Amino acid sequence: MKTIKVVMASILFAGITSCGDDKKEQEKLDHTLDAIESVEQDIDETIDKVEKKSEEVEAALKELDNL
Amino acid sequence: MKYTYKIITMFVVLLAMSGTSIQAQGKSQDKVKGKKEKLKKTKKDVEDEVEDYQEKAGEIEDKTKKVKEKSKDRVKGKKEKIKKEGDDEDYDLGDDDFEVKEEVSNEENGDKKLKKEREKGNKGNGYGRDKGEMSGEEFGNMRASMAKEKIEKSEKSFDENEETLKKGRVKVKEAKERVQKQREEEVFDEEVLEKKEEKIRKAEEKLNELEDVIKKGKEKVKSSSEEIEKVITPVE
Repeated sequence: MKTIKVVMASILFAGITSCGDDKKEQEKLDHTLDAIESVEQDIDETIDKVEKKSEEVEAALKELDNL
Repeated sequence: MKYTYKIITMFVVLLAMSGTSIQAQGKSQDKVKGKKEKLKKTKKDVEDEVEDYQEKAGEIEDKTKKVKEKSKDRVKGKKEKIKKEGDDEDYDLGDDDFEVKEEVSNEENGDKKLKKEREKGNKGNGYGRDKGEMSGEEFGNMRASMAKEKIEKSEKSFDENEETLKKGRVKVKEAKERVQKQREEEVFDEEVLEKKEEKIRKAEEKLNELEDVIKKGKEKVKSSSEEIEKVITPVE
């Protein structure tokens, strides 16, 4: 009876610990993904800005062809 | 007498047993009936909910259509306004016209951004948060490597635009020389030459702006790259 109790307790402990680990891992992953997504968004915005400005430059340079 | 007593006892026992089985049958029939009713009720509830959602979806779709039509009309109206009021040459436009032009391009850009966001939303595993059968660490690293690819792509874009910048500077220099020559040879009126110089100034201004945007962009990408490196953890 005592042995069964010990085994049950250890199973319960292992279960609780693994649940805690999963939660921690998920939090860490969420943090990582947030950081990555924000970086990606920054890069997208930067590229958009550069492309837009480049288009403006090309249009302005085209005007110089007719001088 | 003894047999009669036995027969009566057996009869009573049989009667009692049959009564119990009938009762049990009745109970089980009631149970089945109850379950059926419950099932019907649940089915009806679900159907009602589906109908509600369908109605809501229809309303949202109508609203989206209306907003789209409105924005299209606005863009169309503004474009026509620019066409009517504006001259072919940009330097003849007033400040208000520039604002309208910018608004139009902003709205168009807004549409593009919306599309991009929708596309992003549909990209699934890679762009979402569903890691499938991967571990958190593996998935995080995979996303980080995707972001790194994006960084490399942005660096390529910077290189290309720097090339445009260089070519533009040469073009401006050549144009300046050409106008100078025209002034010396007195081929054109002073007014025409001034307009040409204005165009050159505008191009130069745009080139400076592009240089500035590239410089800032490079700094941002550098810091983003460092951030990604911090986020990545080695897989064992």
